Amino acid sequence: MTNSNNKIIDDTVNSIHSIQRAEASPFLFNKIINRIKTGTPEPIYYTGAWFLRIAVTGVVFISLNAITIWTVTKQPQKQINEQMELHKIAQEYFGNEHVSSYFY
Amino acid sequence: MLNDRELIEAILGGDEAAFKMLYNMFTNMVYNTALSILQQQSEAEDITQDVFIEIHKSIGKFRQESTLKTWIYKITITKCYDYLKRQKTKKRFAQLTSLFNKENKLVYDKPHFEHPGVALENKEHASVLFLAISKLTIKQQTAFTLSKIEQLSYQEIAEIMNTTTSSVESLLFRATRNLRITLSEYYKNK
Repeated sequence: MTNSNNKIIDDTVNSIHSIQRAEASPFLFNKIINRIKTGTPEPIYYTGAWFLRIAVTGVVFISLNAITIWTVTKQPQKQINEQMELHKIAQEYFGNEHVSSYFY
Repeated sequence: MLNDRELIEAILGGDEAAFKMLYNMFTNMVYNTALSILQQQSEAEDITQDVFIEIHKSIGKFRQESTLKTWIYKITITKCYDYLKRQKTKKRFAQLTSLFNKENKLVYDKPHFEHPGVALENKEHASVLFLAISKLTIKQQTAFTLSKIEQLSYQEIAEIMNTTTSSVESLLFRATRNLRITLSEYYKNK
């Protein structure tokens, strides 16, 4: 690391010492008292996030199950179809009934 | 001048002047801590309001095992980090929605650094520093803010963070080291 880089990092870190105390707005106390008196409830922040999490979990769960079911049900059918096609080609090629013995 | 106990009893008895006294004693402490963590004036004011409402609501539950100041610091830190967590969730959601956004632009972005206690000539350095502070872990960020900005002792920080002074020392050491790493990467890429 170069000296100029070290200097700029030091300057940046030391800039923390120049931070002054800030004053809050003079109207803040009245706002607080007003909120206490009117009993303004604190907003419920997490409802949306929880709902979203549950929804996303549900969608992922259903999708994974659908993919699994599709894989289980469709794949053997595809395999059977392929075997049948192969069998058909073999039958055409050899022209006899004993084709299965070559393959199975 | 009332002591902590008398002040609490007066507030519990519904004395608004006592609550105002407590507010005057701690408002700048709460506001400046929130400002250092959130780096936004309006958000710091909102959190200050929430902190004093929480104090008013739960002062009866304060068991006086620590000082009133430590208890108020704890509430402030908790409120700030709840807020930051919500912001993170918002940001994550925005990133998710931006995937489906035609313009492919982030819907949410952190507002610019805004701290009234920073002098204009230091604003650039301070904004970079605060950006680097925001990249620290929550514990490192808390320890660093309370030590360097609020200038609390290790003992006070340990009480606020429910930890030991040696843990605070270690957190501050790691925070400073990580800050320097982040800053060196920032200036290298600039």
